[in-house]
Amino acid sequence: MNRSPKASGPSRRPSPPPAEEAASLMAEAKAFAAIWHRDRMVVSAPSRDQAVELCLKLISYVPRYRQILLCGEVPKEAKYLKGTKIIDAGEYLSHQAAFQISLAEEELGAAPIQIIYFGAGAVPYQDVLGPLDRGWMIVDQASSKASVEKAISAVQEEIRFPPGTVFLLDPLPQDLTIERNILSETRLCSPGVREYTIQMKETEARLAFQAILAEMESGKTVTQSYLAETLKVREKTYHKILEIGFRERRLDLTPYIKETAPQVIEFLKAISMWNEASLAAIFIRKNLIGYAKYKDIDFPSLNFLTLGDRVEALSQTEGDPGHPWILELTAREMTILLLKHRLLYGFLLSPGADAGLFRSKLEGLIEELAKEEMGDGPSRVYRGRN
Amino acid sequence: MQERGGRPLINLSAYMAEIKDREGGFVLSSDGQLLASDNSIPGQDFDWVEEFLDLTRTMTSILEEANVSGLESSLLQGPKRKLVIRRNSRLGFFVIIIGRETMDGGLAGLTAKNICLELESALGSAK
Repeated sequence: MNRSPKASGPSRRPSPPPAEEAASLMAEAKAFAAIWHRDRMVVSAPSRDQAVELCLKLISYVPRYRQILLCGEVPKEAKYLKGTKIIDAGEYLSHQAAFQISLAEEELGAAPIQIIYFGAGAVPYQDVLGPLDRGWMIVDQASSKASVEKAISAVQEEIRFPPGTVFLLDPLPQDLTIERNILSETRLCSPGVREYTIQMKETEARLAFQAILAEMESGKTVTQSYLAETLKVREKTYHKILEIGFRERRLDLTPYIKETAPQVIEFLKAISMWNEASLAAIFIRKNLIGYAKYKDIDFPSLNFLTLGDRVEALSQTEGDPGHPWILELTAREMTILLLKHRLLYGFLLSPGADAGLFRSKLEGLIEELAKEEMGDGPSRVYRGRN
Repeated sequence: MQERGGRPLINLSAYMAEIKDREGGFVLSSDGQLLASDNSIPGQDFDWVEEFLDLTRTMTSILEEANVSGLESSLLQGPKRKLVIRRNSRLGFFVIIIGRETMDGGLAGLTAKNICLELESALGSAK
């Protein structure tokens, strides 16, 4: 059956913004990233109303699963926001103790908090916010970098964000691609759609982190490729999940996950140039150490392992094909190619692809990869929090 | 695999004789039952054939789960042995040819295709 060509229509992504708009988008991406990463910040504008307006803009970047705590001189515009809790002015030291307990409980899985303190004059910084290393924002008027640095802490980044300025007291994350892409792709959409997209990505990251943790607690060896396939996330999202998880749970899972080796990444990149493959997977024993999906296709990499096991079962009999071996399966819609050469390589080739030519091109790459020493496990095994 | 009168539907051994360095030939039904085998090679132990049949069944079920039309052909080759599988798309049976590493995979594939065609025609006229 012939497939009709894809219907041509308007692109899903809007065209790139002009330079001025791009600069404003970048400023917004920085503010979004700072909130998502729970950086400490001072938000300031010429007037109190403008400072509150800016604060309300920034609140839309706070993930919904976080508990927003409003303190100080809470303006009426903020009092009725959904999901917020107003902390009455009172004993500042009891605030500090409560906040510290909340931050400690985050490590055990409680909802992370976002503190918003209105009015710098109302904030006994040294007593209340000073000891907290993340997750708070002071909303003030007419602050300058010098005044923030004098009264609070060194400013790492100053973001001009109309109608005011955001002074970041923590460094920004290095890669802002995800934040920038979300804002760029939704720049022509209504605020509701933009907020939905932001919240969806933030919730996805949180759920993914919990899933990774559960996978490790179940005693499984976890590799980056395995996570990329099972959680259906690309590399940048994968790193974001771990960074945000670390900022919210103080749990660095990086040492417990086997990263994709640079030489495997190069191998997968080389395959992508040839156009024949729809999917590639590389295993050491049962562990997926390399995975790339070049076309939109649904085929679990576990199938390669199942087939590999069947061929390996033959090796225990008189029917042993010997090592290294190649298995090629041809169907009308696809060709499956499986090679065992120290590592197990699985490929899904597009219909009509020349499997013989593909195999001959692979030979050199596989020889190169076979020379490398690659472990299949992470540097450390996760055994729960100490 | 015989007609009612007892005459075989296909002379598998005659086809297999064309292939140098062959070790065995089999016909497997779509549900994995062994329908015919070429056991004309003396001194060969075919206990391991069951593993080949398992491999074929696994290939079929994986392709079914991937929602594709089904296996057409397959080739397994290592330094010791080669395995050629051809599936009849209309009736669903498999022709499997096993040989040493020196067996010509192309010729074996062609023979498997011819067996498929003759058997399809024989089964069609036997109905």
